[in-house]
Amino acid sequence: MKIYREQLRAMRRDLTRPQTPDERPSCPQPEELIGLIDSSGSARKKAGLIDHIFNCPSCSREFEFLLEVKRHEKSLVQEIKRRLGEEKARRQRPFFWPRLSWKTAAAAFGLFLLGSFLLRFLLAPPENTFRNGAGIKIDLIRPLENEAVRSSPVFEWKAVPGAEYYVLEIFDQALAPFWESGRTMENRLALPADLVLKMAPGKSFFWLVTAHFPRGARVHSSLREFSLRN
Amino acid sequence: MSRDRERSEEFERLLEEFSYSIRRSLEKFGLERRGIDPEDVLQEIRLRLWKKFASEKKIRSRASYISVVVNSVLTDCLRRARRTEKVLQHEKEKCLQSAEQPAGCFFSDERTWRIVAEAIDSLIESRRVVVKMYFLNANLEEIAASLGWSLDKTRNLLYRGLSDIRLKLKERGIEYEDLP
Repeated sequence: MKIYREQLRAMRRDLTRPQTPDERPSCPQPEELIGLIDSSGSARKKAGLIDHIFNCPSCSREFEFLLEVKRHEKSLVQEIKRRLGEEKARRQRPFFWPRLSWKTAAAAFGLFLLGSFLLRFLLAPPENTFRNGAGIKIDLIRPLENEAVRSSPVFEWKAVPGAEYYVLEIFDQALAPFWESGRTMENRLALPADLVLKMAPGKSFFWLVTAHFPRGARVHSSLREFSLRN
Repeated sequence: MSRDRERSEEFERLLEEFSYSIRRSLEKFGLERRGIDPEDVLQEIRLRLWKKFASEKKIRSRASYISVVVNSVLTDCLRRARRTEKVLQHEKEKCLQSAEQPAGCFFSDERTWRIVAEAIDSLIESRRVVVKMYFLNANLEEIAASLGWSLDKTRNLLYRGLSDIRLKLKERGIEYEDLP
């Protein structure tokens, strides 16, 4: 007797169904199924989950559904990135942009020197005046991306020259605003103890720092994920 | 201004394609019959994504948050489906007791499946999890990402696992071919 892969997959779907009625109390939570696809949890836990899903018709149906949605989601993200990349490239190199040669490089360098001179000595504002946030980046130091931090987390970032004050924001798993600090001059901040008590250990949170400059300009850091240790 | 409109229309179209794919998946796995209204799910994903990624700058820097948004909507929607399932549980069990065997489920298939399941369960853990995920329709990349292993390691374990199964099944008179 010969069997093929798709036959075997169909057999699993059909034959696990009548044997196991939907006993959902023993089934993993939806977050655990998603977590398995997103690669979270220990190897032992993953093996246990896979064993369960393989033999449970409801969970296997949900798991296969989540796998498919994740594939579509991946294509969506790639498509967005590709289109934005193309648009960026179009913006950066217009059709009349000359090919790089020694002559153009020398001309560009000359223009650069001239421009620098003009900016530095003729147009530049006083040294302590901040014009805008362009080109300024906030480097987040800790917690690191996806770090599970202890119960009294301290957030730290590199100080930004010219910044008047900073504001730290925490978002929950669905990116809804969870907490916002007041103005702080320091480039580090510990969360208040009563706030930490409201944060469920193991759940994902995101943090972001905004640097505020004179004349209302501001610069945001990237958003970084973290969680509290169980 | 017109560039903004163009971008907004383009993003709207991408979301429309994404919504179409999700709607098909919901139908394929019969989750519509379990109390999940595809339109609700799609509307929620669209709203949340649109809010987060309305401008180009945000999309570029935060593309990975699509995943966070989709995960959170999916979790809610599976929870709702499970609640409905619980309500229908009693009726379902009654149906199962009185129902005949599903079409295509012959004794020989049951026996074959039992042998296959035993063969898979007898594999060492690392090969077993890979093989089980493979039969749950996950591809190599997805298995590797889920288990946090390299693609080479995953491929190796899958081939060895399938080869073990082939041998075990052959001993029981079943020839397995890893072809669709």
